[in-house]
Amino acid sequence: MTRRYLVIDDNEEFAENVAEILSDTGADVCLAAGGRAGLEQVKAQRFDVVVTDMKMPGMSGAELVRLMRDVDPGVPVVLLSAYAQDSQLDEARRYGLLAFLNKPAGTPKLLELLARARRDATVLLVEDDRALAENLTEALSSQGFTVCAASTLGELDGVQIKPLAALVDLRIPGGADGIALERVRARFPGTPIIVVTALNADPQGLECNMEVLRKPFDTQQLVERLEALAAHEQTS
Amino acid sequence: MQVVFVLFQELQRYIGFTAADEVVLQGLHSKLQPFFPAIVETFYARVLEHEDSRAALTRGEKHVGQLKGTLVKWMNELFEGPWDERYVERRARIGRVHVQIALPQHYMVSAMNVVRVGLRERLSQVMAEGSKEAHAARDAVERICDLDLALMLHTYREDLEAGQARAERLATFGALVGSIGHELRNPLGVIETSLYVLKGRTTDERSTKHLDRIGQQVTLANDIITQLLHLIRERPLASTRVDLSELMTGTLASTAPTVTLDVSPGIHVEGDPTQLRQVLVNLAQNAVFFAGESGRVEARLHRAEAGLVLSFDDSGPGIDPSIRNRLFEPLVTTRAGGIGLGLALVKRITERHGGTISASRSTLGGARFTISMPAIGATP
Repeated sequence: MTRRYLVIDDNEEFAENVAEILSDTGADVCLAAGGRAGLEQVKAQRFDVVVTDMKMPGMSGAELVRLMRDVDPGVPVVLLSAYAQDSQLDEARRYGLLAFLNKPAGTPKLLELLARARRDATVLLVEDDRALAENLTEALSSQGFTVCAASTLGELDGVQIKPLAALVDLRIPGGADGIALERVRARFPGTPIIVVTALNADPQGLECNMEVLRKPFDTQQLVERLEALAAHEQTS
Repeated sequence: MQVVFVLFQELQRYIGFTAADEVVLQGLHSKLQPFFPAIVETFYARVLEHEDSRAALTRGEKHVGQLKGTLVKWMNELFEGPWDERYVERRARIGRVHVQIALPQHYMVSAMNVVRVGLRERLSQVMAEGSKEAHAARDAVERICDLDLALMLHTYREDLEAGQARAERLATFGALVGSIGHELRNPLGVIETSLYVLKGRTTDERSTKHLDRIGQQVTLANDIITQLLHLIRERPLASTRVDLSELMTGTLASTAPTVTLDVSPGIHVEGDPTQLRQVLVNLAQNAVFFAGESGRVEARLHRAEAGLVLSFDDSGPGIDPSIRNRLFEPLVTTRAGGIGLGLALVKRITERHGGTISASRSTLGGARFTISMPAIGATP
C-alpha cells in the first residue's frame, strides 16, 4: 500500500526537499507550513507518519503533537529540530514520539525511520533512569514503535494515548514504590504491562496481564515481545 | 604608582599609621619573634577546624607545613617593614590566592583576628601592662593588622569582580554562539537534503566528486557547530567506572597511531567515557599536528599521589608566547584552519571530572600538556 506522509515545517525549502525525497520513494506526501495547517490535514486524512519541525511561529512542534493526539492518537511523529536540547522536548516526548532528530538529520536515517514506522503502536515508558529511557526509546524507535515517556508520577498523569503496552519501572519519583504501576493499571485497564525492576523478588500486586523484566535485560527480547503484541493487536 | 599602593597610603593616613609606628614595630620584632611559631600553630589549628576553610586549603597543592612557613615569614615582614610598594604587592597577592582557592572572604577577617589576639597576648607578656610603651605597641600592632587586612580584602574583592566579569563575558559569548550555531543548522538541513536528491540523479563522475565534497564540508560544518554547542552547554556528565588505561590505548590506536604510548594498566576513574575520549582525541590531534610528519609525540598515563597524571609531549615548535596566557580560552588558536575550541573543551571536561590541566615546555622540545585527575582507589 502506498505510504502517506505529512511534512510540516515553516522552512519551505527544507519541507519541499524532504517531500521530494519521499515522493521519489513512491509515497504520497502532503506539506504544511505551520502547526495549524498541519493539524487540519491530520483531521482530514490518515497519515502513516507526520514529520514536523519543533520551532515554528504560532505553534511549536510540541504543542502540535499534543493537539494532534486528540485527532489521531496512533499516528507516529518524527520531531526535527535545529536545537539539540529543546526545553519542550520532554513535553513532546510525553505526548508520544517515534523519534527526535537533530537537523541536519541525515536523509538515509530519516528514510529508514519512516519506512519502519508503525501506526497505532505506542509504548508507554515509565522510567526515571534517563540513560535507560534513552536507550530503550532508541531501540523501540528503530523498530517503528512510538514511545510515550514519563519519568515522574506527574508526567504519567499527563499521558493521553492508550498504549499498546506499558513498560513500568517500579521506582519513579513522586510516590511510593508501586504507585506508578497502580496508576497505569487504573488509567489503561487491560493494557499489557511489563514491569521493569532491579529487584530479585517478584514485586507485589502482579496480575495476569503483567510480566516482569529484570535489569539488566535483553533489549532484543523486549522488542520481540512488543512485536508479538503489535501483531496480535492487528489481527484482533 | 600602583593603584593599590595609593590606597595603602590613604589608609595609613586614615588609620593614623605613621613613621613612629614603624619604629615601634621594628623595636617589637625581636621581642615577639620567638612567639611566632606558637601563634602560627594556633592559627592553623583554628583554620583546619572549619570545614570550608580546611577544604579550600587542602585543595591547594601546598602542604600545611609549607603554609606555616609562609605565615611566619608574613609576620616577620609585618614587624620588619619596609612598608613600601613591594610590601603592598606581597599583601595583595594573599587576597588573590584566597580567591583562587575559593576561600570564603569572611575567613580572612576571622583568621586575622586569631593573629591579632595572639600578638596581643604575647605583648602583655613582654611589656608592663598600662605603661606608655605598652599602649604605643598595642596601637601600632592593631594599625598594621588593620592595614594588612584592608589590603587583602581589597584585592580579594577586585579579583572576585574581575572573575565575575569574565564569567559574564563568557556567558554572553555562549548565548551568541548558541543562537548562531542553531540557526546555521537550518540551512545545513536544506543543503543536506538537496545533496541527497542531487546525488541520486548524478552519474557524471566529476559532479559526483564535487557533491561528495560538499557533503563532507556539510558534515564538518555541523561538527564544528556541535563542538561549539558542547562547549557552551552543561552537557550532563555520565558517571560510570571508566578504565582510562584501556580507553586511552584504544582511542589513540584508532585516532593517532603514531603516538608513542606509556600507559600503566588498570587506572580507573569515575566519569563520562565519551567526554574523556574527547579529551584524549583533542590533545592527541593537537600534538600530532604540531609535531608534524617527522616529529614525535609521547603520551603517558600513570598513577600519582592523589590520583592519576596524564600527559602529552610533542617535538613541535612549542606554545606560541602570544597566546600562552589565553591558551585554554575559546576561539584562541594558532592552528591553520583550527577554530580554537579543542583545548577549551579539554579544560572544561577535565575540570568537570575534578581535574586540572596545565601546559609547559616538553623535553621533546615542543609542548607538554599535563592533566591531574582523581582516580578510583587512589588516596586523595
